[in-house]
Amino acid sequence: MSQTIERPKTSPTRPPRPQTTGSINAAPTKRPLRSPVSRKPSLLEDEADDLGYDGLPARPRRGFVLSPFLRIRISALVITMIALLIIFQLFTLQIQDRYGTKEWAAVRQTKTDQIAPKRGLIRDANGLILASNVWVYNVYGAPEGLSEHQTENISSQLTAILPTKDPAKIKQALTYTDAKHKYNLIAAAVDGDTADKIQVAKLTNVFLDPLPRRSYPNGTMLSNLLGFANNLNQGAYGVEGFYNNELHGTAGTRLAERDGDGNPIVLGQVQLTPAVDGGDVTLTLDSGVQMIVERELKKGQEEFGAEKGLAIVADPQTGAILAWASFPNYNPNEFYKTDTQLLKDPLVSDIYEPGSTFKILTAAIGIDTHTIAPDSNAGNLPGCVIKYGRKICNYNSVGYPNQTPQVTLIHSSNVGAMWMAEKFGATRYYEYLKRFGIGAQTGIDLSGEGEGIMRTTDSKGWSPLDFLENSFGQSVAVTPIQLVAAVSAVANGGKLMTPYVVSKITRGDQLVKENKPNFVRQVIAPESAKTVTEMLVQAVRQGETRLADVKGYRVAGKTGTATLYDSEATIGSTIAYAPADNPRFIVLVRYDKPKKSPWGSNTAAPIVANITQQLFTYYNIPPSEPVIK
Amino acid sequence: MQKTRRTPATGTTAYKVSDRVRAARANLTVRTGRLRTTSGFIFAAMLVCLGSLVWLSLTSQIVAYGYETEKMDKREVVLKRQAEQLQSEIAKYENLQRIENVAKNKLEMVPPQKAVYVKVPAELAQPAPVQIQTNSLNPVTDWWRELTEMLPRPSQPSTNNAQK
Repeated sequence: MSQTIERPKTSPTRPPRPQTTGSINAAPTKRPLRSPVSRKPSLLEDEADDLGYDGLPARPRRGFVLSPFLRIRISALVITMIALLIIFQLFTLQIQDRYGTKEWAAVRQTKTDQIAPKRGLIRDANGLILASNVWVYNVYGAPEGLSEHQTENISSQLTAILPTKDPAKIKQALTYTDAKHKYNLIAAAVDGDTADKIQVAKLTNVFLDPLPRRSYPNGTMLSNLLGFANNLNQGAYGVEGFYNNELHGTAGTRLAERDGDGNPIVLGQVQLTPAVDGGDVTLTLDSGVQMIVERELKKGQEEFGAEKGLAIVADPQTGAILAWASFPNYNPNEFYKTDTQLLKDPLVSDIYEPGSTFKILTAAIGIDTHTIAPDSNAGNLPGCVIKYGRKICNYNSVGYPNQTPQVTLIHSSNVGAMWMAEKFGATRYYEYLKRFGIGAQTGIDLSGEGEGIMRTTDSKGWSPLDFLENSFGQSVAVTPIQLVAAVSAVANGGKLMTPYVVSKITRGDQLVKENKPNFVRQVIAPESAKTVTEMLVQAVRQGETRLADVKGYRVAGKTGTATLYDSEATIGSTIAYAPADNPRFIVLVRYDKPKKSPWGSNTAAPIVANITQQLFTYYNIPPSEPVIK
Repeated sequence: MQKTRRTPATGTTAYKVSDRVRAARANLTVRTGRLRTTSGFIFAAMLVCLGSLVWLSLTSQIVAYGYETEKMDKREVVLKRQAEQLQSEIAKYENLQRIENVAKNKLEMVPPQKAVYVKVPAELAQPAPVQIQTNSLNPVTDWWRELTEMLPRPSQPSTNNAQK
């Protein structure tokens, strides 16, 4: 059924509204006429009348009245127009721009949060933490909407909590300037305790932004080996740099629907990709040994006035590094304040002439090639000889009668070393040196390793003089770790092992990676190694290396001194291993430009003895011979 | 058509079902049907309401749990941060340099001097102390051993008795 409204034929004047009662059956009654407005006589009536006031103004009569049908039509038209507009808009949004709208909605409604992975810890061999994570907080102020009184109040409270900050700057950060500066940094990287105080104070419009930071609880200790992780949690240098991928982990994501204020909708869809935390790295290093080495090295550096001091302690049987020290070093907690030159690890990157410590290899090659024996008689060798137009002398220019290779090592004779080298020749010499790993990276798991410099017979510019000088450690450059690896091969029976600093990487209970001792090659026969060890023991007991001796123990070693080309300064070093017959550790100590004495036998050797002595106690190694006082 | 029925007692026709009664019955049936329909509708509505209530209650519970989970997640993050902070604090306390300083300066300890090893001739060397095999009282220190040795031990049969 449809209702029809009959259009009245009369003029469009408003019909009188029927007066109705509560009952629907009541007959319509005529609306009573409005009673005339009774106006109270004004107190100023007389005066008003005098002024011409003639009562209330007459109600303006409506001149334009629409009929209900016209109003319905207009309303319908307006509604239709609105509906059309809505339909048009819907068409535009849902059909025409459907992809754009979808994307816009997705951007508005969903938000992807990055879940930062936890950077793995670095521990020493005993489980002591060498690198951990802490949280610092950036303090921000949102000055918009703060009254002057509030700004004053908050500033004074923050000044009390942050006494190192300038109160004027705090107030400035909390003072509204323009809409561009909604959030102003008040203080950067405040510690957890300070952040707690700010949180407890419940300051209006003051926010804390947590940031992860790397912490090195031991400060400068092992800084060159550890490297550091920057403010973006990316590792640089040392273990942090080399094992950055393993330590860093993988970031996760959380895609969640958000409401208008950006808060997550609880029943909304969530796509969660959990973060994979970084693995914990366990080093082969022992903090106890490290402390001994650093203390002795530092003491020696101060005593001898050396510009630089370096030391490595390693297990010659496996190649595992036990201690790793260099001075000057830096505090990785404040890496941004450090001179960039100090960031490089000199123990893997600095190359130097090893000097007489290289005679160990020359003697080992001679013994292994059976061209010499410890007691081979070289005759009366002079203190100086002229070879290829160059005068080469022993350190004291003294010659020894009936010189043998043993005497050569005892007195560190350069002329004797040349005699040994001439016995087996350049070709075999360089073959052996290559087998010892000289002139190539050792493969240690640290970044920035150098290769050293070794010119062979095939190299451009090589001369026979190079070969002769190489025999006593000149015209050849090695890195400290290269020398340790090469001499370790003599110490352990001829096996070249890859040095390594990380023993394992774990994630929770799961073993991610394990570094086991890596045997590279057999360089010399075990018998040859044993013979050379005995020669080195005698060198320590009778020779220039005697300051490295420890009573009651058989220590094998050799000192070395190299003069720098650009100055008269020297590099003094000593390398030794003990107990000689079954070495538990090998120690290399090097001092650059010592002022007190130029010789490695006077500077590095006693420090090696101090370290060795303490390591015997540390490892509970009893003396093998009676100690005679 | 009218139905008649004889009563067994009198054998006369007892009554006739009039149209009025029939109409009343029919009306009753219609009303009953309507009532059934209405009650069915009400029941269905009640079911819907009940279902909605259950759904609403479940939803609100889920939302509450969701907020609780959200809160706990945030708490977990804070606790993890605190754990990391504490781990770092422990690492600082475990610093050997700090321990050495405390030992030397606070506890007035002195570093060990050179270890002296004395070679003892084999004939002078004393045999290792015999360990007392008791299940409950294992000697841990000398004084404890002395104390345990003072305890009465179970009597052992003599050799003679054994031979018998």
